[in-house]
Amino acid sequence: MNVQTTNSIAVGESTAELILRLALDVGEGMLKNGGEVSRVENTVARICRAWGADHVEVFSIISVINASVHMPNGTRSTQMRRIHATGTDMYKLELLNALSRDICEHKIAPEEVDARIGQIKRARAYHPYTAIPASAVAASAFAVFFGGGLSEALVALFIGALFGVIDLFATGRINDLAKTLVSAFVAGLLSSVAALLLGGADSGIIMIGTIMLLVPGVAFGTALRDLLCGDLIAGGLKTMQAILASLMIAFGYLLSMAVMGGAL
Amino acid sequence: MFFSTVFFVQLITALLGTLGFAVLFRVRTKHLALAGACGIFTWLLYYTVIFLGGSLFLAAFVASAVATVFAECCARWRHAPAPVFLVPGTIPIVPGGALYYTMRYLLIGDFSLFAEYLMQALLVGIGIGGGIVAISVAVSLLPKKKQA
Repeated sequence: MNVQTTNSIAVGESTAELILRLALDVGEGMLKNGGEVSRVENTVARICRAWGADHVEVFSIISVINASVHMPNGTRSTQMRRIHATGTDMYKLELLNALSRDICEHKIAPEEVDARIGQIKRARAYHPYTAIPASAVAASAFAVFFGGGLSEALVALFIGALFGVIDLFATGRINDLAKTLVSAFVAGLLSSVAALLLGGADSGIIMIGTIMLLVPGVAFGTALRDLLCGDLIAGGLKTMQAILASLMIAFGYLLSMAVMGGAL
Repeated sequence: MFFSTVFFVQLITALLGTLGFAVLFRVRTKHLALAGACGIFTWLLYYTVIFLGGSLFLAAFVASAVATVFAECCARWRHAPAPVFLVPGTIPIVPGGALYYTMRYLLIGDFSLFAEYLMQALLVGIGIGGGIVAISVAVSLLPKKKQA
């Protein structure tokens, strides 16, 4: 028996299995990098049809994609993907979108898709460490936006940078809610300590600036959008996520208040 | 006064905040300018509607609806998905302040202020979501070509 193991296309994979696997790879990448559920469903269905599927069914929520495909040659396949850890990477989302467009315009054959997806997984628009200055700038900009002065901006700059560090080390290692809790606790603690040390600094303003980085504002917006567009399950799950994240922020802040003995 | 100090301070910090978030969301450098512009537009509309006496809900709705139109246009122009511009672009009107006060008054135990700020946060949140949905639905009704 001469079984080829170097070929990425599994031996004995039927046409239906192959195209569904590749379409799901694209969909999975989109969901992992912050694509909307409706985009994922449309993309998977469109790719399968572009490769000649008779019939496609796709159902996706934030943590799972289920899909089924029938080919004209009689082969059929149903596969599911469980999605863990989602983040936002607009660069990867853009590349996956371009890949999907190329597939639908028949600019790329199924055999080449594995290599393209591999490239996209390794692609990055910025060095990971840029998260530190980016969140520092965002936190201090919003501290000033909500009425802060120089001292509030500087403290928020520091806390924002710290969020960047927490993000780098925590992502993929600890649960996202736990990360939000820890970040909110750190922010509450540092902003009240800074307010005590700097005298004039307003800990509330510092908190608001830094909280902008934790607030599930975007998540809540997309949750609502999903709900109103009829993706009730995905929208409901995202709403729950956003509510839990808000509770974690409140809880982390409460802990910091307890530690500081109400010196806020 | 429309062009007050607050106007210019918020204009600049809204831009910086949007750009900071855009980098966090890994928006590539060639789209950063448009994402920043989207943030400025969103905030400018929000500020204008409130200045003219509109409610928080109306302001958030109008601002996010226009931001969605802007993002959809950018998406077609730059051949990139609309969220690349829209997600950082709506950041300046996310009700961070209202959410903070909601939380603070919950912890202090002042329930009337808690309810007031919670309503504010929810109204702005629903306004943002509603604005995005209104335009997304309109866009999905447009004659189909290919995905943006």
